[in-house]
Amino acid sequence: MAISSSLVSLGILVGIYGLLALGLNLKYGYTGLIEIGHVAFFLIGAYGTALLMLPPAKGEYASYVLGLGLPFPVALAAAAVAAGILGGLVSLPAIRLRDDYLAIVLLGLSIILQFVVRNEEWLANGANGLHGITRPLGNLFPLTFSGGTATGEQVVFVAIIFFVWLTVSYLNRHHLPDGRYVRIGLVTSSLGFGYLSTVIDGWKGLLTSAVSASVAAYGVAAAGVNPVLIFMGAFSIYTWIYVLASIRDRYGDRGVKNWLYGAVSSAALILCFLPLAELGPTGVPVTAVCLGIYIYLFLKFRGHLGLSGIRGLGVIGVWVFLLRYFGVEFVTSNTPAVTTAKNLLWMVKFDGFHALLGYQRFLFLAITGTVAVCYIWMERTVNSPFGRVLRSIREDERVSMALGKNVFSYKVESMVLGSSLAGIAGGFFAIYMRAFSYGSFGSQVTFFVLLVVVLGGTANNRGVLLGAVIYWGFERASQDIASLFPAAFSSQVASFRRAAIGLLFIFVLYYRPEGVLPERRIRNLGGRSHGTDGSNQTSGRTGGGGRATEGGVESD
Amino acid sequence: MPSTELLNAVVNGVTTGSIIALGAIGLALVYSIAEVPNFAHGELLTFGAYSAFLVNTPAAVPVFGVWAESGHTVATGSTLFLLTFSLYMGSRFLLTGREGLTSLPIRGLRDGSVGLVANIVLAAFLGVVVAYGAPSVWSGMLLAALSVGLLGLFLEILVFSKFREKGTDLATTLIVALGVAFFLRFSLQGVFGGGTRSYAVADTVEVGGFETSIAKTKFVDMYLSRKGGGFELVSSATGSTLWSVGFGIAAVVLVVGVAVLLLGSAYVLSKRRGYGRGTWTISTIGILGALVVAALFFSTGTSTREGFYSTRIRLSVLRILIVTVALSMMALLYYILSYTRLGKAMRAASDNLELAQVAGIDTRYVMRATWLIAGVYAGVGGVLLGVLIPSVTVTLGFDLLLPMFAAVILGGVGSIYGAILGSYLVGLTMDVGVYLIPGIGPEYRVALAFAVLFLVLLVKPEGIRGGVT
Repeated sequence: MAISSSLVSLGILVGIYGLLALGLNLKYGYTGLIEIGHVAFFLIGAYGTALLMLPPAKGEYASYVLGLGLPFPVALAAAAVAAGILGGLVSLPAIRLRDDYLAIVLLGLSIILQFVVRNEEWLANGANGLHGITRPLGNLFPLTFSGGTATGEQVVFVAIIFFVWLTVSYLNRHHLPDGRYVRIGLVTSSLGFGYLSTVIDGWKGLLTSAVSASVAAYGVAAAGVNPVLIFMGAFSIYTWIYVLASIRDRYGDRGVKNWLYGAVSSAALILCFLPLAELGPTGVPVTAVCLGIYIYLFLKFRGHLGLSGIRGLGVIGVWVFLLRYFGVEFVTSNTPAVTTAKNLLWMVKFDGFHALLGYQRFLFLAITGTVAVCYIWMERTVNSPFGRVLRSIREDERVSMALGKNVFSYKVESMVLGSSLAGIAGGFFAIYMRAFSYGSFGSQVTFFVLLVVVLGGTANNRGVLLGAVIYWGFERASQDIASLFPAAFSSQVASFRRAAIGLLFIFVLYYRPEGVLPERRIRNLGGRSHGTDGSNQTSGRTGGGGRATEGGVESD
Repeated sequence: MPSTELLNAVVNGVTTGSIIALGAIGLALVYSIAEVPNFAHGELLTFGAYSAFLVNTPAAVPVFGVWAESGHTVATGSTLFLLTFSLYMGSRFLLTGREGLTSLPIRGLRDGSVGLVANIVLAAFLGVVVAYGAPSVWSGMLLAALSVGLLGLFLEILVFSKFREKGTDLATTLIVALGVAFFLRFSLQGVFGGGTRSYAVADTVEVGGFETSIAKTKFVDMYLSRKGGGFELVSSATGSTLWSVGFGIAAVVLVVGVAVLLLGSAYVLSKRRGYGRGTWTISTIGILGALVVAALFFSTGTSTREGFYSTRIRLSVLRILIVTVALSMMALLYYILSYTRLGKAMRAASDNLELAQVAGIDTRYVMRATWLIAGVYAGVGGVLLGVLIPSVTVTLGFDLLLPMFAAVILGGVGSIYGAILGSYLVGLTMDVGVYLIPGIGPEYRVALAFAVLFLVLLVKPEGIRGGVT
């Protein structure tokens, strides 16, 4: 499998964890409920969606309830509602009491639910789990466009383009009038259609850009050119430009020298693992020594290199990713140029030299779109009066009570909303996995999501999405490293990898409890100013905050 | 042949409750004094269970097994001795700093040189017990108690005291504890591997020249008929009767009547005269012992194997030992809390930390001692759990976390004795519930504990002894 495919599946997991983290962030980050049983709602979402989608149970080895054969969107919605209702119900007895009681009840619920699906054969096939979940629209993929006349394919393709461009345009909408955001100029001029959304106001602009992109896609397809290559390739390049522009946006204060230092430093880090890959068991101590020297030197000189602090680590992280994704592939491949080109056009799946759109990539787009919608939903929720009450409950619920707010019902509503997001994540998990069992819903999932939230930035929705990216990046990097170890050590390495995650968690909580992107303070509640007046972005570095979508909000 | 019924479930419940209690004690202590909802407490039990393998089956422990490949050798023995010695000295040092090494909190041993000698002698004694007792599980339990005690100290010093200094709130402390749990569990899995292990428990032990099998299950059959009743001790392996005793109805009535009369009057007397609870406990034990002797005196020797009611209890010496160890640990806790300076300081800190501080109590020392005690009890509990189950996995303690929390909340957070009472109630609910409720298997024991927790929160969230300390 090409590394671009593994990037896509990583992206799917990031999306699922992003949804989980958004839900947890509402409950834990904004409302201050100690939610350590989040996985229970993930489980409900996954099992609920699967049971509603599966055909009626038959045969000796499959026994489960429901089996209604519903289409995916209906099943997903029902499962999300079920998860939300459960979240509300279970919190009823505990939410009036001390915080820690709620924590125990929720942890207990998650353990018991896992117990039940494991032990009750009739409910969901017991320990064997559910399998054979059909993927929505799965029969249309991979999209190949070999003949250029298949209408079904064209419809699906145009629909994909439509929704992709709708999302993309929405996300870019607010940036353009503000001249400081270089990336917007780059991105829109490179692709054109997104520009329409900024020229024409509101949802009409969004729709126009999406429709025109779709029409163009149809035109290309009808002309017999392989539209997958054209559009998904363009989309891939768009993402690279977007990412590079974001990096420039964020780390613009770093000079060329700093970036070079970062490159050398991360290359050295990767080279530290070379003995492990080449020497086998004897490489373990060599690598350990190399790493020790590396860490010593890094800690000693990080100030000189301009690499200290979180942002310095960010520079290293960017370089490690680029080197791993392009560098290692370039060195190890027989046809470096072709491999690099394929990795660059990561949204296109290559079957030899044949470009096609696989289901993974479609699912990636679908999940990313869902995350975007949920992100906007959550941002609107937490910046609404409702969200402000939630924050006030977190800070001191006696104050909110004194102001006449019904704290109890606000907390329950927060539980319902957050849990239903976990349910949606579960639904996508079900169609991503297609077969799963109780083992995927251990309490460690809650722990990972908690880590994602705390790492990214508690009570910052952008932060928690970034946290999901960082977490899965870390996960993937440590898997890469673990795979270099001799096979005899593999299970131990896997355990210590987990232990290291626990340690990382404690360190983050101690040294940077606010996470990578700290919560943005609400500056004034009175004048909610929309638009992109640069007045609240006076300093060059806004740390990702100060986006106009959060009008009246400034970075901390 | 009688079948196992309710009484058997009750006996099982008491065993389970005893082990839960050992964990719940530490959980409640840390909860009320250090104010840490310690979600890593289950992992402390697991850690204890695994550290006993160093003594019990050292050959199967990574790294350590290198010395122990040829069984119980001098090398293993001396390593164990040194390990135990340094664990003890390390705990003393971490507890009170350098002066901890040169004093013992016992009158006459507080002085420098005498205290140092006393500490060394004690550490050496423990070391000899562990090294000489290997590979017995019981000396493994000693090592486990010491090592988890030290682990508890480390957690307090390296993690929780740091967060307390930062003024972290309860929610974050709880999440920190989760991180600690994660770290401990997967470190253990990394060292020991993810598989299932079990202790090598000697089947027979020589007591006073008799070979007694301790691990083998025995059945105690009870019969009740119109003429009287009887007990029979049946070997589970051979089915042969090992010992039996019967009673006539008159003897039963007489003995039970006298028992009720004596116990009642003892209770009334102790209330009226104002004797302490201790006196009453001792007199109760005395009276019950005397009655057992009397009952044996009245017995007819053999039991009738028929009657309108018969039931069977599965017992083993091992189970009785587990309950005994747990009960004596609780008695020790009672002594510490009631009669020592440390115990009084702990109770004061539990009531009101600031007030205790103002009153001149060294709260840092109290915190550390609390974690040490919690660790020791968790270590013992973990080993006992491993002996009982008898398969040890890395989720051994985590699986018991919910029952432990249920016990603490049922007892009322802040009350140690409430937690013990809660433990027995939860243990009984788990085992009796599985017996009584049709259609649920033993895999739902934890779910029953959770149901108890849920009900308590619904009905009486302050717990049985909430508000009473």
